[in-house]
Amino acid sequence: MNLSVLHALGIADCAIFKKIGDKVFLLQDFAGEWLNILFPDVQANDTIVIDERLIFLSDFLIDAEDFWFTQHSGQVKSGIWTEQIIDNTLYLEAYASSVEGEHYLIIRNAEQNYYERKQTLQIARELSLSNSQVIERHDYLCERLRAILMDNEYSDSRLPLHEAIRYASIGIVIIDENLSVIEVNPAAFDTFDFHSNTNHDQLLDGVRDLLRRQYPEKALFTGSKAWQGELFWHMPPLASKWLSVSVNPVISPVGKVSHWVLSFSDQTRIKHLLQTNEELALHDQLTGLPNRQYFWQQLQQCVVDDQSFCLISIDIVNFKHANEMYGYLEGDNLLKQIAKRLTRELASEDFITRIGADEFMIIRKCDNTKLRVNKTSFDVDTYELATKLLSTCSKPYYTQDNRRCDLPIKIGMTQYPLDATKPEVLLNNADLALSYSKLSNNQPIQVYNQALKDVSARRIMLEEALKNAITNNEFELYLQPIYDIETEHVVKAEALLRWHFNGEQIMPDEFIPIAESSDIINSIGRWVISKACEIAKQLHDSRIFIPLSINFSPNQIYDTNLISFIRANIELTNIDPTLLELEVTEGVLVKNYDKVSAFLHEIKRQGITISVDDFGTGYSSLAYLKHLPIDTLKIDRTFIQDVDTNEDDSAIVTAIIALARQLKLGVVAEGIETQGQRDFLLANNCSRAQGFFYAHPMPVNDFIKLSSQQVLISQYT
Amino acid sequence: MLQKKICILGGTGVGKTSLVKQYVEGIFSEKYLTSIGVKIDKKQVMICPPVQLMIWDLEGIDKYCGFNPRYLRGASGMIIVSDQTRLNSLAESMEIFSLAKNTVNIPSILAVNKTDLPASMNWDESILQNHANQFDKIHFTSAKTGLDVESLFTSIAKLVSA
Repeated sequence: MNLSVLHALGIADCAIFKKIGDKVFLLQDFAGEWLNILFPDVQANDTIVIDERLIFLSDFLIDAEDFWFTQHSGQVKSGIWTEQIIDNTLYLEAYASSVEGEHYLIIRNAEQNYYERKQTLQIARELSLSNSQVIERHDYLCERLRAILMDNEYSDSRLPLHEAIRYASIGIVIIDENLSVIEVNPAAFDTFDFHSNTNHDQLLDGVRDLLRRQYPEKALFTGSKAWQGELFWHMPPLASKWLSVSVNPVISPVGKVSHWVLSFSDQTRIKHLLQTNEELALHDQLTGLPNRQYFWQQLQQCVVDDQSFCLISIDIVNFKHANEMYGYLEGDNLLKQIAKRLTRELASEDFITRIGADEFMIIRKCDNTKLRVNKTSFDVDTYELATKLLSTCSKPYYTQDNRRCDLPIKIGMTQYPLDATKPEVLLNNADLALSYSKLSNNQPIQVYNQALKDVSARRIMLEEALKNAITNNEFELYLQPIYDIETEHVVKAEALLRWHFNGEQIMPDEFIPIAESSDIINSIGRWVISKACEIAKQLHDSRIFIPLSINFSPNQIYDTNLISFIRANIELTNIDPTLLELEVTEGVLVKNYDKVSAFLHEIKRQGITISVDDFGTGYSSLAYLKHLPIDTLKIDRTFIQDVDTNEDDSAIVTAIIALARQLKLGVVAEGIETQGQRDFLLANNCSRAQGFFYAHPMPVNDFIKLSSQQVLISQYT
Repeated sequence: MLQKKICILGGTGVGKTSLVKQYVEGIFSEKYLTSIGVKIDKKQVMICPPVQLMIWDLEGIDKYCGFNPRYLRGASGMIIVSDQTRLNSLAESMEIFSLAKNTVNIPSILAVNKTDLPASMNWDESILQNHANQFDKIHFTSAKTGLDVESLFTSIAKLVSA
């Protein structure tokens, strides 16, 4: 092979061997003394045999042979390997290639490449490890403190709390709902180089001031949202530090924030490492896209330049589930694919960033005159871009082992200067629009507008009101009967939550998502359990011996001590636990499987039965049915709606009934509204149903009246 | 002499190279040095019959370096290494193990490394036990002190020679 071919292959500092037999090669050309370490005294036109002495290379020959046999263009490469020969270390990479019917093995000296890669990855991996340790420490401490504070141990003695944080290596400040400091550990003082007798409030004021100045768009300590981020602390001329900060609320059993836990740890070393590598400082390590800091610089610059632009906020639907199903390594790989797809659709002047774990943001500069003249509509070109992004991301992704994965996106958009002129307000607008597209089933692209702001204001108002709903006695449990289709007797009831607020009855569809997003759900969940136990007792005293099912929110799995809470309520009301049933959705079962499995087995040990709500709408993996202690499947109403007219729905419903029978599970059809649906279910051996055809949800006393009549009828028939 | 290929797999910074270095050369370094690519070491294990292990120390699998099933070709056994000071490392190890199992069906050992250091505060023995039965054996090792390192490689040698 001549030098032109060598250059055509794009390879330098390499040895080129032509294949002349099985594992036998002719050395055609080489540059560098290193080859003589690998093959002593070899010269051009010498023949070599690659034998078992060179373990890695012999193994690579299997791939090479396969390539030479099947491929006629391109090349296959081995990846870098280290070859230790006596006292010499070589860093090599091998390629197999074919040119004009001849097969070549190229061995390249990859030393430079090895050290470059090592240098970059050394920093990146040290950062990764440090971050993972910091996050783990914060998470652990916060969870432990929450448990202590939730259990009210604190009210009697400060000792457990004091002990829990005293020796922690990360700084901890605990404040109450009025933002008064109640506990600070020594590491918190050390973090800010304060003497341990410094006034506690002075420390907190300093932190809050830093947060206000560095995160003006975040309304911390006002709602009940947790937050994590970084702070830069500077005390000239003494020192400056980068701090990793977590702010976590502790929600009391009545749904109010009772405490805040702030934790800090010094990230200066990590930042220093970042600054030594500009690429890492301004770019996301995983996708290579600009990071949050770079994005803020760009956003602020656009505002300073008074350049019209649109802000596109993108969220990947169900990415968390993909991470859980396929693992974090595969999740990272999928994120890279998504970043590539998004980038492909952009023009060269568009700016894209990965702003959060599964969130991207795009700045699209627009024609100043066009955007400012047409004040009523959103920029058409940007809307077209959003549609393209939606389309490209709607195509399936494939994992490394070729499993299909659907990761559609949702988009929220806003525009400068029409919607706002401050960067943080624009960011809030885009986030608001995104949050509504995430809630909508049929509008994956949402443009910011005043109506959204109004809806958001109602949501904030409801969130505030929800915190007082338990203490104001505004919740009520309604019961919806579940019937035996054949005997038409009530055999079970589902407890459904209603909220009476300012003369309005607010339905769970509206307030449960709000409660779930703000941690109030655990208090509501506990209220429902204790109320359901009281009602079960009331039914029992009225000689109505039917099970009562209650809904279980996915977030309640994180409510520590929930099992003992349930046990205490059962004991308090002295009810038979077999008359209680917990309804969980498929989503609960798939998320955090290990934790859910342990929880459900414990529930089952208490004697409580378990049903799967909205069955068929969740995930395709049915393995959980075999491994989890499930008693009943509740077929989702969407399949029942057209079950007597739509062949697909009837096929699905009969399949679920057959599945339940095979697994010896009970089955209940939800959302029965017509005689036709009832007849279909009866004909297909579905014994139980619930829906408006039979009865609407009703207050407890009405339910007792209805069921008592049934008791009377059955006594006299 | 019988020769057996053994692959050492795990996430970044769990101590794969340190375990190999401790076993083959009896050396340990406190400084974390990331591995690039593949390095193969050989060592004879004096069991009956004696076996020569060809130990493939593979670059840590993370966002920068994906899992390459090709390296498992011809392997007789694998050691999955996990770092007990980071709970997340166990989850990563199980992911890697699951990818490896899709490629080969060979004896496997889980090495829970860095036992000279305190375990992660979040470390839960019951989670480890949930995964234990998927491996032929578990060893609790310290590449630093050498604890259980020799027996780890002797175990894998016995497993692959059986």
